[in-house]
Amino acid sequence: MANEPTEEFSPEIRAAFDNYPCPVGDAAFDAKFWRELDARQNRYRGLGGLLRRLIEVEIEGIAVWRLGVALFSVPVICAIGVALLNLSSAPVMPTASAPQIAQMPLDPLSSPRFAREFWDAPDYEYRAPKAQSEKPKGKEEISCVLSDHDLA
Amino acid sequence: MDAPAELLQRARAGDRDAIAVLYGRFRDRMIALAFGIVRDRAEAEDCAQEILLRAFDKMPILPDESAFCAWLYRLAINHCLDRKRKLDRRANISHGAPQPQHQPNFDAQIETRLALERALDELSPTARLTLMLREWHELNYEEIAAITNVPVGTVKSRLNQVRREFRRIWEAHNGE
Repeated sequence: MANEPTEEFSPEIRAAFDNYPCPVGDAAFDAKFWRELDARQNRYRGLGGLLRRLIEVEIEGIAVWRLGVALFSVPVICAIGVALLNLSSAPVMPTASAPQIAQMPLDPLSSPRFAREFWDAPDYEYRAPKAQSEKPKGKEEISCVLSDHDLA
Repeated sequence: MDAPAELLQRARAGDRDAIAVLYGRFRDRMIALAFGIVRDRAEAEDCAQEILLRAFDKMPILPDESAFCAWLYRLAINHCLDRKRKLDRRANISHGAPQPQHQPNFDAQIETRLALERALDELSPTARLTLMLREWHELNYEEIAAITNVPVGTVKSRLNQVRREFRRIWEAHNGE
């Protein structure tokens, strides 16, 4: 304890320090302490208490499980980042392309025109559009079939 | 200052008698230390209660029995400084309102007590803590060095400096 003399202070200051009424504990303080200590120690009984104690182990004021999570999360985040980079820079493989919408034949039953007419007239009878007749060839048109004149 | 190893071992094992001996030895010291830092009696009692509970609750993981005293004081100082910071932050939020929790609320009618408090309040927190550990807790230089994590020489020079500063403040207030 106080091995070294404290003659640096004047007797007046020394007396002020010595006579200062520092607060002290009382019976209520003691009762509260023992009650709280019992409550805390009961928390660490049994298997659940052991687990709780393991979780609450601290290193330099930081819970060990927090340190573990922090250390584990670094490589995990790095791995996710690398995986995302690899995915975004992967070469595009040639795949079979679906036919374009414009190239697909239009189903007359599902066309807007058919739906509107069907709604307006319940007895609407669908008439399939007539097949377009081939345009007769004119005389000037070139025929693939060789004619008699050509042979001549 | 250090408690005997056998007593600490029993307390660590949960022996009530051993805990009671250590508790009785350190209770008032912890209250006084907390009061010196937070400057409020009710807050000081709360702090001391929590420090002692943590100390005896966490004893099973103490690394070194011989360092119990220094460990307990470090625990107490860290807890009280943290509490003090929270109190100051709360005081700053309520702008300009009177701060009764920062005034000593025990009976302090004698002029020298008030003068001592005023002079201590004008010191920096580190200086006040060093002086308190020396004057009220009667710790030697080595113990203060272990608690504050500084070399013994630093403790000595810091104490000389603090005493000079304290004398200057004291004489400025009480010289006339």
